[in-house]
Amino acid sequence: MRSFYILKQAIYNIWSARIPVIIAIITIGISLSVLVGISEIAYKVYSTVEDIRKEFEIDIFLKPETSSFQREIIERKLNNIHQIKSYKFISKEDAAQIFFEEFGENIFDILTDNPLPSSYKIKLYGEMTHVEIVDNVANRINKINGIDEIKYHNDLLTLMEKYFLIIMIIGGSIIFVLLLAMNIFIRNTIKLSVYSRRRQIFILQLLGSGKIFLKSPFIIEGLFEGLIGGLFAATILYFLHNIANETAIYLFNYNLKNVDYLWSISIAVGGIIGVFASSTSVNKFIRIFAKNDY
Amino acid sequence: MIKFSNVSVDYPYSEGLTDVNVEFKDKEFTLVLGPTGSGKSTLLRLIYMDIYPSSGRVDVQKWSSKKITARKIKKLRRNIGIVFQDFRLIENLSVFENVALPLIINGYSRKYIKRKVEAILDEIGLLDSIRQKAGTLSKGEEQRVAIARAVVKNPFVILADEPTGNLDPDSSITVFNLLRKINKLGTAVIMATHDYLLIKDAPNRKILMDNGKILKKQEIEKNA
Repeated sequence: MRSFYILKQAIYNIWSARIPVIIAIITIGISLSVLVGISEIAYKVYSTVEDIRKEFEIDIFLKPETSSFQREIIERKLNNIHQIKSYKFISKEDAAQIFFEEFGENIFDILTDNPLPSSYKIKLYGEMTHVEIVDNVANRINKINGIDEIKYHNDLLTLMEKYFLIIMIIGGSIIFVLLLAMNIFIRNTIKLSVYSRRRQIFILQLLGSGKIFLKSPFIIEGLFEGLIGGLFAATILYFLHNIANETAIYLFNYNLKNVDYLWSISIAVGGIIGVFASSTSVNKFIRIFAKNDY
Repeated sequence: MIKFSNVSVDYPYSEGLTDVNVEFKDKEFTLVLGPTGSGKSTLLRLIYMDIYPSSGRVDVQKWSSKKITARKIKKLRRNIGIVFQDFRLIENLSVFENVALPLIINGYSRKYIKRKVEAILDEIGLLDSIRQKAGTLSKGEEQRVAIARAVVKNPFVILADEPTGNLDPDSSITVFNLLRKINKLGTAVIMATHDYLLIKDAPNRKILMDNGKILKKQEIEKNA
């Protein structure tokens, strides 16, 4: 009976304040679609950066006179550098083969001797692939006897880290502002609902009503706004994704990945924001509006 | 039992209460008389702990104004029925829902609530209006619904603050008789009123208040 009453009051609240509720839902829907869209872009950038990091390699070229004994010492020293995940030895013959695969010409057809040096391709652990760490590892490798030259694309890493940081800061700021905006709109409708029902709340308090009984209809109202806002955002995202997909097919003959999970995320995020905003504000508004004798 | 011990209430802009000592026994019907602003409502508000004494203490059954917490106030109010001059019904709810509210708050089952509310509405002659919205009733009917809401939870006392203040003479008599009937069934009633005509022949205990004080017997006789 309590649940039935609470639900009925929540529906009554929503119906009584339908215009502010609709405005809140539209705002939440638009904000959530932008928020989820930005989160998706940020995630894609993050994944790409992580992929680049995973594939990042340091090439170390050995001096021509390096003996197999010296190689053993080099490998032992490489094993001692804990940032190194793996390394692969490329012999002069392997290098010639790679040259053939990449350029389609046999090096021995051009030159009488194989000038390509033996080398190691070194991979670091993903979390270690940062400019400063890579420089540090390269310096340590450089001190090993028998190393002729070290090559790695630190400029790419620098550029990637710089833009990744900028994207994360801008994306994070936009997400923060949107979360704040959604919170404000939900709180505003809860404020209106509490204000319009202040007399009823006061009466319920006189009858000995507990906090949960008083607050629940407003929290359900917040949840409703969040979920419907999330559903609205999911619809916007669905159409935007379709447009983006058609454009990608037309321009690049590329089919975008399915993003069904984004819709459930936007509905879930909407619901969470709705419950959070309403439950944190309802106490305050009850205290402000329903403390007097009406 | 309700006991006021040296209770004073200070209001910044109006008369409160000054050194009130009074007891209300269980199952007793007490009429608190006095002009507007004499402190009748303050006396009742102290009982349901809507306000606290500035000095002294109020003991209501096992609860004391000195020690009571917000959680215990809810429990106290679940054992008290309150009736106001302006009825304080929730207009968008039906008569049934208004009367059922204290039971819903206490978490009773749907079956029990239905049986109990229907029985009380039958008793006060409003069973036919059970589905009607409270806002559509006449004032006399509204006050009867308010009394039904106060009684439905089997309180040990009903506090009625000017329950006939907004009613015509016929409805006032109906409401007063209803409260007396409830009292006869074992519930204490404390009724604040300035309607001397209505209660002049009532054989109940009368307390006269003026300027925040309870007048002594000789003063009552002098004022009468």
